[in-house]
Amino acid sequence: MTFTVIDPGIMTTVQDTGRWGYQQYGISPSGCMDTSSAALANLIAGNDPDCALLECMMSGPEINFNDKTSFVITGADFAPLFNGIRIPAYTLIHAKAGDMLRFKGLRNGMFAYIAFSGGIDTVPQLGSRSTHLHSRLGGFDGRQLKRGDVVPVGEPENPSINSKDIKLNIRPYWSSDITLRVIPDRQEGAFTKDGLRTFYAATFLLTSSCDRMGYRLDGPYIEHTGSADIITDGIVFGSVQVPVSGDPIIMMADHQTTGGYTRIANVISCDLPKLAQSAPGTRVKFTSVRVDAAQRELVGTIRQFNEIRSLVNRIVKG
Amino acid sequence: MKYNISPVGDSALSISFGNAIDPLINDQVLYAAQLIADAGYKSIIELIPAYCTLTVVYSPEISDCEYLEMMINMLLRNVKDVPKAKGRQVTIPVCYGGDYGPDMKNVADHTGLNPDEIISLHSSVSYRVYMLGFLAGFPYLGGLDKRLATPRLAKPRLSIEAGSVGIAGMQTGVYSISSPGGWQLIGRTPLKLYDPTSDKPSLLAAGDMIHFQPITSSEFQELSSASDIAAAAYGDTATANASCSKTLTADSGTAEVIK
Repeated sequence: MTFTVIDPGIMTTVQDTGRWGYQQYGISPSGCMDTSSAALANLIAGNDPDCALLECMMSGPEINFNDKTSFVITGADFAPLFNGIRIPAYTLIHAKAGDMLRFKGLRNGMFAYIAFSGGIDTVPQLGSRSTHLHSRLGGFDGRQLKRGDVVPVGEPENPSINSKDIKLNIRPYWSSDITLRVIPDRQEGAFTKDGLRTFYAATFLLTSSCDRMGYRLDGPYIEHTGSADIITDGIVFGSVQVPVSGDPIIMMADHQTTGGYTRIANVISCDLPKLAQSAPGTRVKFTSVRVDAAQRELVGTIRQFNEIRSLVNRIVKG
Repeated sequence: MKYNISPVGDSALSISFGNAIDPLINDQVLYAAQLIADAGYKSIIELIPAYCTLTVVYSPEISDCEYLEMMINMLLRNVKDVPKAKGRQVTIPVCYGGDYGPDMKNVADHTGLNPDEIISLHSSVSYRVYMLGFLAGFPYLGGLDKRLATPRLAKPRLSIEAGSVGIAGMQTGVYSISSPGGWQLIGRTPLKLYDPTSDKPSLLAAGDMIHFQPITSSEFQELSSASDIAAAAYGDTATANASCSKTLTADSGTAEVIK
């Protein structure tokens, strides 16, 4: 099964849960920015959680279906139109050859996900289909989609998915005021008391320098005790670095594997999806939480997803 | 081993062995990485060795932070002897100066050395690969002769070709992929430090020792056109690439480089 890209939109890439095990060689894990919306898309499509899907930044693609294919849209709301008619998100839609999907335009959020039952079937590289532009890996030759690409879709595990009604009653809305919960980093010792107080009390603005690598924030100066530089070490999705300028940068899915700026804290996994979906201009506050609380919440979320998965499995088999 | 463990968010932790760029500290990082990898903990997703820290990425669904910390302590706490990193010796052919090293004059002006002296100092020592990062396959090297230290360009270049060999302050390095940057470029290697089409995408690994071998521009051209060029490496864990060693030994008389 395939579909053809008529117009790729601003930046549409193939992503999955990421390419793990190669950060020791400087290769970023990449993967979806909003892992939660992506996971829900795969759930509704009846796919395994590591299936590849399309991630669309700030605008959607226009695609033409070449075969009978079921798909679902989650995440940012770009007002999807199927054969010219508005369709709901978080709902499995059944397409046939000649059907068209396009999007009217951005209404809320930054990243939409389109999952296809069977998953996108481009050739995996180093164990993942995730596109990482800098390393030229994954997706289509490591690049974003372009006009004329014919995208392969795998056979669904259970073909009966192509006639099932599957939908989740979710209509997410990403606010322009967010609070991110963070776990303080060992390197917070590199900041003065005032610097730390500023970080936890002030409101920061997301700037327009936001991409898959990192989100830059603007706000009051966060003061270091001495140097803002450290001996380069590992960083993760969610690390909040503060360079000498005093303005924080939050590492996102395509982050470099190592960094040389002080990390003041790290955003917890459960708050990364809402950060990813936040548009430039969003007001951001930080609050500190304990690692055990963050881990309990993350495990709870994973369990909820597993419950939805068994529910979908029952519908597909029934 | 003496170290300190602290969380990096809810899905990673950092083991710190000190706060200095020092081969003995880096040996501890690499040995700890080996011990943890060999233990085969199911919760561990990957290990990122750096100069003096090891970042452990894990799945909190399988073990939480406290539990993993205990497991790591059981593994590392009683380690007394830390072996030297078992890296490979890798020779990297470099065509110095000319179009490949447009900043040779800057380095000469700054250091007061002439280009031949610069090439000789740069290619006469071994450099330790402390870690990879920044770009895919990019090595952080230690061991630059102090006399070669030159500040970065005041105005970074928008694009630097992959393979470019440069100096930035007390550091030397090789751009593994084309990228913007401010290093003073003194030469270029035809070797691919990063090959996205390979299942071993990075030529180098942390703990390797590298050595730069001067080559002429015609040797550079020949090596570039060799279809499967790879490292001319020797040592107990590495094998020299046949086509590369043939080209070098047959045409340049540098047979002693490839053992």
